[in-house]
Amino acid sequence: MSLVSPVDAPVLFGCGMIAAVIYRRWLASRNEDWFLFLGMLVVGAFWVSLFVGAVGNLPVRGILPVVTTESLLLAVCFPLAYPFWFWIGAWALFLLFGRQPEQGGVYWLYRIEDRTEDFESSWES
Amino acid sequence: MSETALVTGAGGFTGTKLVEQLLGAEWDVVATDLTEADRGQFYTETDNAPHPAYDPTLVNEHEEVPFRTADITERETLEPIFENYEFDVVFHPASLFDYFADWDQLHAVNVEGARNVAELAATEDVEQFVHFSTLGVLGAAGFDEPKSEDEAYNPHNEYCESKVEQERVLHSVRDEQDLPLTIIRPAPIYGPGNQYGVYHILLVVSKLGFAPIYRIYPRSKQLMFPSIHVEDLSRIALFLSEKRAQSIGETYNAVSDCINQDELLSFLGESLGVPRIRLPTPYRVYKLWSKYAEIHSRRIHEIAQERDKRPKIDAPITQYLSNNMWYSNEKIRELGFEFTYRDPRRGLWDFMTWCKERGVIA
Repeated sequence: MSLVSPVDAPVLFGCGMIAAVIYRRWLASRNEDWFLFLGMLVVGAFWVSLFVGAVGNLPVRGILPVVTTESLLLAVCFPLAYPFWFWIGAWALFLLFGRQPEQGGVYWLYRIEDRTEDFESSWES
Repeated sequence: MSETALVTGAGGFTGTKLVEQLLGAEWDVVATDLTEADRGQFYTETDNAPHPAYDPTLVNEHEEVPFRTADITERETLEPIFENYEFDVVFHPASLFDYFADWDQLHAVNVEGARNVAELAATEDVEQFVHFSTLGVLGAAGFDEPKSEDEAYNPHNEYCESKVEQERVLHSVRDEQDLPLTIIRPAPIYGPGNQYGVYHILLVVSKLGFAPIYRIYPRSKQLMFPSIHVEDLSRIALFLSEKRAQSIGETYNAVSDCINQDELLSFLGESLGVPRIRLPTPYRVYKLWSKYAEIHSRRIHEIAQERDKRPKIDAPITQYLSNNMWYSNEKIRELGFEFTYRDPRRGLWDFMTWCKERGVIA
């Protein structure tokens, strides 16, 4: 038996973006490892819920995992790619808005006012 | 016997460093500039963003140097200075370097102001008049060889156009009144104290949070980055005044060895500790993108003007993205000058440290 939950990739992408916002605004200045901790937390939760849902045939996240016997390779690779989807979502946000509070990302170029001025450099704080 | 120099624009970035250089060489120096309050009439000052090219703390830093307040646009304020001192050399770095300024202001300071100083210097028979122009008067180069001093003018914005007019005026004073003229054309100047121009490249990479490294293909179509450390520039001015027999009547590019823009961005990304994203890009695609960046920054510039604010990046600065600013320093090196920062990465490292220590980049 193999298992694939097709909505997980876009949801993880979104989670990556949300985690990046939280990290950038509140956690980056405290400890840069927080991003890794958040990633492990979110991806770990997805793995566990996928496994529990598939084994117990339970809609743990509101959706039943799609059970497939078509491709073992797909079923192995798909959950293993979860960190990648999370990471790519976070990176998209970092590119757009910066990785630290004092950075502005690409969006900084498009604004007249500089809303990053009030933040102290991370290396100083 | 030590020589006496007049330094115009002595409160500015280049002027301050030049004064230090001359004092180090045991020259007697007389400094002149506007008062801080008077500068407001020329520079675009807004409530939230004073023009960063002028650091008021630089004015009157050297108490041992007589500081004579004067406005180069008003000749009568300069006359007492020339009456009270006998100058061997007049150094004229004073200029309105502000891409936000309108043409009338640029013309008043850069063209008519230079005429006033030059005519007085010619009347008083100074031994040399060392003028600071800009490499921008030459415009962009092709991809085969860097531009040398004898190429035709091709300015790409109003500031550079004003500097072309300035050179023409000085040439006419030289021809009509025997002004012993030497022209230095500096590349974009950086170094401790700079917060306008090259500083903005550092600022953009720092604020983006990543360094976009455009690897342009074919590799024969590389855009270059010209620059000069302010210390090298002031050393060049001093060097040319010491070699005045050879340098009078000549024009010199003041530029370190140019490096590729992708080399520059890679270096900045690494030094500023931000991720480097390599983007292999066909030349035509890059040109399209840089054209978009130019149009976009011009639009931001206009919106900022409508709101009486300064844009974070003045539009003409983005022209360095789309044009190959490649210039030769062969002539000054052949005269015997040796750069302290011939590879700009060495100087930029020091500059970045200065910026970080003062919190002007993250």
